[in-house]
Amino acid sequence: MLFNSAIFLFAFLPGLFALYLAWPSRRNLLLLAASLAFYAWAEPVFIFWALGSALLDYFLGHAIVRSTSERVRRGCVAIGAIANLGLLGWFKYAGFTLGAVSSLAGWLGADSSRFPVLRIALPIAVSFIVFEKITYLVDLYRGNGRPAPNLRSYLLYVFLFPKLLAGPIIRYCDIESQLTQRAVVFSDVREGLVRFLYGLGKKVLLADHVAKLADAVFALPAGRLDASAAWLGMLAFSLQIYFDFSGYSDMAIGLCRMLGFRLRENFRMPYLAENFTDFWRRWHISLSTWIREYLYLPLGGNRGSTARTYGNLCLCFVLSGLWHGAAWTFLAWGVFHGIMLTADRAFWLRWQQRLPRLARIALTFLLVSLSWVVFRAADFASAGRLLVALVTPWRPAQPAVVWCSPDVTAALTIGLVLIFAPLLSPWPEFVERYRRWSWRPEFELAACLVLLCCVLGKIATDSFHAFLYFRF
Amino acid sequence: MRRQTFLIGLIALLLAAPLPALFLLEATQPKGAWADWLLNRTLVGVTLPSQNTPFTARTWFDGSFQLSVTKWVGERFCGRELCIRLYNQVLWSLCRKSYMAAESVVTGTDGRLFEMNYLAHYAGLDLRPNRHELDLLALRLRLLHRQLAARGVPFVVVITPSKAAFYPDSIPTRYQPPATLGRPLEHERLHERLSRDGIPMVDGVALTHLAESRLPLPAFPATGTHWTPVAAGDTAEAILRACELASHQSLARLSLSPPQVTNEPNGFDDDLSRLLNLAVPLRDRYLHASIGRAEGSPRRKGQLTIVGGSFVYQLLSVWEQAEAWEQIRFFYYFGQRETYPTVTSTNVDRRRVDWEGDFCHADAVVLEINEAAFTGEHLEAFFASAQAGLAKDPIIPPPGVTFAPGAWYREESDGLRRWRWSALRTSDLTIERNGSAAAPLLVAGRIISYSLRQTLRLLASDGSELWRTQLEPGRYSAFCLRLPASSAPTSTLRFVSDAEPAPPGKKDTRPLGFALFDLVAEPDIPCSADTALPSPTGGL
Repeated sequence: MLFNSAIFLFAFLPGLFALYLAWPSRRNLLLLAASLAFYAWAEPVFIFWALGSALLDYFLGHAIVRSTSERVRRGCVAIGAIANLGLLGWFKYAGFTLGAVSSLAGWLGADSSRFPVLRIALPIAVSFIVFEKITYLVDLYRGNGRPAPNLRSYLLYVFLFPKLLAGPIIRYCDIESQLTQRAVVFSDVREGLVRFLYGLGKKVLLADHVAKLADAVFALPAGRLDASAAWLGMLAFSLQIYFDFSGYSDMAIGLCRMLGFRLRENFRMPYLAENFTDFWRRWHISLSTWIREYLYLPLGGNRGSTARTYGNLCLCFVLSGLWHGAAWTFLAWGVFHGIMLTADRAFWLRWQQRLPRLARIALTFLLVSLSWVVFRAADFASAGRLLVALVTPWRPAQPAVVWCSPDVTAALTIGLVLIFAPLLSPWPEFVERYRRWSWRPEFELAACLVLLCCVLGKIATDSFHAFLYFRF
Repeated sequence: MRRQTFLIGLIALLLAAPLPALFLLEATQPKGAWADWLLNRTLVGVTLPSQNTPFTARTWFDGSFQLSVTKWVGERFCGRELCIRLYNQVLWSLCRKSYMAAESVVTGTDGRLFEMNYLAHYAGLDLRPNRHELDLLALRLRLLHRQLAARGVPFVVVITPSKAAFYPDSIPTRYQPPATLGRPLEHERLHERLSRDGIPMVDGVALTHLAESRLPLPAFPATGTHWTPVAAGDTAEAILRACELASHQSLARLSLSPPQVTNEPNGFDDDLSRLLNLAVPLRDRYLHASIGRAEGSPRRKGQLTIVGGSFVYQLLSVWEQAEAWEQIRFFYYFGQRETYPTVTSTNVDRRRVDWEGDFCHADAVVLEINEAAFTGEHLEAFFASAQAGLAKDPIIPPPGVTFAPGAWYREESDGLRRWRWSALRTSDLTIERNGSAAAPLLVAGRIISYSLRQTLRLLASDGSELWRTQLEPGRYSAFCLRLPASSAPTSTLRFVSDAEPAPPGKKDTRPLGFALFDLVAEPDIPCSADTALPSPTGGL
């Protein structure tokens, strides 16, 4: 169930929280049961695969810690990694791989119809679950932290529902102590609730609004796509993906805070990045951390030759692109980011110092937005159409059908203000004064109350698909 | 701290109360407007009914139970209608926009409401019917008219107006057609063809313009998508006169009292504004008039069968007020069969329509077509049903058609429509002229390909190209050709594609080229002069 669904807001969340407060001695058990129910609601079959895999990892983790043989320890990590990646590979990439092989065979003259078409339903959150389980085993192997004292703690780490669907990706050692020792205090509930509702507002009122414009533009055929629509669509999707993803992270962090957990931030004003290296320190921080810790560094990081370093960077981001989705466009997106990061290292980080800060930010935002076009497009043809339309303003489209309605315009404007306001020079002082304002908690709660009313209105309206009368 | 606790308590109440409150209020069933909004009783609009899925192992593991419960909670929580109306009101007040009906209600420049379908047609966002499709429509109407006339049943076509085409100056700029396209002209072109063919047609568009010039208010209220019954009165009267002329029997004559202007909507007058589901309803001024029968004109005479869309309801309202017809059978979008004055409503099985009872024994058959919907799906079904229904007892036998062996697969049917797939790049068919060699022959049909993009040409027996189209997968192309008079007993047509038939797939193991649907052939002879069109002048 999604965080912005009525069943989550009106049934799951109030019910869980009421029991959570009323039954402090059984909080972990309650939270585990709720998390398993949360996941089983969406994946009633795959949850058994996930549970079986988690069980395997739990025992492998203990074996890693107890064994004195390096070979055994490595073997356990390898088995765990292979099992987890096998799970991910089968459910997420088998169909894509087979399709790619079939296309290649056809291109080479073989009979591609011999290859079966595999359509495997992708389980929700499989990418996040697999990555977190791999971090557990690798961290134990490296000596970072202790194994889970019992199966309940480990399963709670894997299936903790707030971060299950869309991250952030957390390491067991980061919440180990919180699993056994945490308190639910008023300030955490307040801050967590504000954070959750803020994220809900970003997702429902901003992301979902601009998504309509983005969807309309990306669905336009070539003859109806003009430059203004292309630029609007690109901007809309850039905002949509940010507010959607960061909104979900806010909701996850807020919910965890309400339950007594403190998670690390996952986004830090990514569109104020001055280059791609900076961007990946601000965007989906838990993923970029994972890539660095568990992929880039084991590959050698920057300890080898320059060429090896660049190769490692590109490989990491190619795989990052594929992690986002099993399609060539995601791969291309990853390649682009890999190339830009390599360019940063090669010359750009030095050369860009000549540009004013605002120019660096604007250029990075533009390039990131261009990469989002490929990320969002259904295929290379439609991505190419939109990219071409961006740079050919003299080509008219008939008839012009993309209209930015006032509410979408408002969402775009508010989104841009939220993203770029920190660039204003009074901003740091404003933030500092706001933090020290004695009425800040009341103000935030009142604002969230209003926000919640708007969100409920949008959720209710979105669920009502009525027409004038029934037409056959 | 107390203030914070209070605010947190309010938020918690907003989240925790809707479901328990729902169960409590549904058990007690309170009355009043506030209860209606809390219990979602008065939302306007047609939705697909949701089905409650019982909890079983199968429904749990296939996810249908979860989907059903999620939908149930989302559609039933207490206060949902309140949320919808308040949210819509804020959006409307600030942005003049509504999310209702997939944002299909659009505000015009002067506050008039338009429905998206009509705007899409006017702006050319939907493909407009081309010359062949209009010719095909006219041919089908002529064929149907001839078939019914041979059975002594008058057939009248009425074209009703589209609000978008009626008030083009009110349409927002983004929905104005480009200069290269211009405004839609299908209504005028069809009128011209039907006039040439001698098919009785009532031009509701022209009549409504005339009516509006006399009435104190516009023919279409700002808050509705349909014409008012008062504005439809002239068209209703014209239909009666056309049926009277064709059937040679006197029918009711309508009379209209001086119209009054009030704030109360009449029937469909505010259908679009109600669909907005606002907290504060929009208001307009509405026309009310008492419609009766002229003194001495017959009461409740004649059995009418009428096929059409929602614009027929205003005609029915006029006729029923005047007690004009003895019985009316209304085929609503050819999917629902309603009767008047005794109101009944049944679903229509399009494959089993009682043509003999409902059409061949009627005193008049009327087909209503809105000027924005010349290629509606229900029209295709109607013509296919007519071809099947009237072919059982063909007073006018259709010409024989021979499909070249090996070039076509055998004829297929879904019980309503008939089609043949081509098997080769070149596919011939031969049409017998049935003794009408002295007359040109009209041949028409529709072509579709589901997977193959191809250029298709239609050649005459001498090799000359009669028709060409670029077939896009999933989109119909119509052809309507006039073969000149010939002494030969048959005419052969050749379809030539630039692509080989698509290879066999999983759904169909045959190589398939294109499908030919609903082929018709008809001597090009105008209908009888007895069925001259009534002149669109005067009014009630």
